[in-house]
Amino acid sequence: MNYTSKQKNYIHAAIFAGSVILTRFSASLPAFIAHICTIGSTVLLLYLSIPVVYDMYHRKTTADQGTVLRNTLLLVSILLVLRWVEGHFLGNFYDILVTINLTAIAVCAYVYLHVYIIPYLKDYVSKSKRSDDSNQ
Amino acid sequence: MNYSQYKNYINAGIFIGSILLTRLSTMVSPTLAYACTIISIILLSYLLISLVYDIYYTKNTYYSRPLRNLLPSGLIFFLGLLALRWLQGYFLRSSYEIFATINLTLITTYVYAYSYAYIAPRVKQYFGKNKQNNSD
Repeated sequence: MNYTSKQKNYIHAAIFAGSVILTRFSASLPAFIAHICTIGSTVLLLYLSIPVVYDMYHRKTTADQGTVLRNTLLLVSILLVLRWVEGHFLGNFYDILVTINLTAIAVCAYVYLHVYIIPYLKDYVSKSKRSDDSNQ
Repeated sequence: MNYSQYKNYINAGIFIGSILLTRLSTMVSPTLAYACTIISIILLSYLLISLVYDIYYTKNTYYSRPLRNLLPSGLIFFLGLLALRWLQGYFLRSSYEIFATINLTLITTYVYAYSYAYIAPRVKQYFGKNKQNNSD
């Protein structure tokens, strides 16, 4: 089945929301189900990251690859330090899963923001400016 | 003793001290954990106030653009951090978790502001100089 790009965006947004809800529920569920929810959420986020990487490397976005990569690395290192400071970094198997999952959520949100949302907003603002200028 | 000469070292010492206090607070009794977290919050508040003062008044940083340019990305960063705390199930769960949330938010805000005020401009300057030398 072929999807239009708008439909794809909605599906990706729904998958992201689903993975965030899974993570939130896993914090208040019994251990075994929490493990499954966390792994499921991480798999969904990995699936989401594939089209972003494809779009970035095939220049389907105006975002600068180098800047996004550098900032993502900085974000990951800050998040790992925070997990260590909180005392949950590599404490047990579940803590490792949660660390991977939370890092994946933050990275996905950051990369989507910089690869799709900010270029779209910039484009929208410059288009509306141009139409204002032509009207004047 | 010339304070300004050693200011960077003192601030680095205070920051490392607050990180260690935060880490320690996850391993000690609840009363001590409260004390460690509150001391860490006070130390980080001092560091942040001193950094904002440097950016606004003494202009003793490498950051040349107005402080308001930092605000949109800083706000996204801050909200993202609160969302992560909510996802972990710690956000506003008890009075200790409120203090811990404030503390962790201050740590990341300081890292973010410091890297923009001192580190990123220096790195850009360094790479700019290298490029110039190579083209010469």
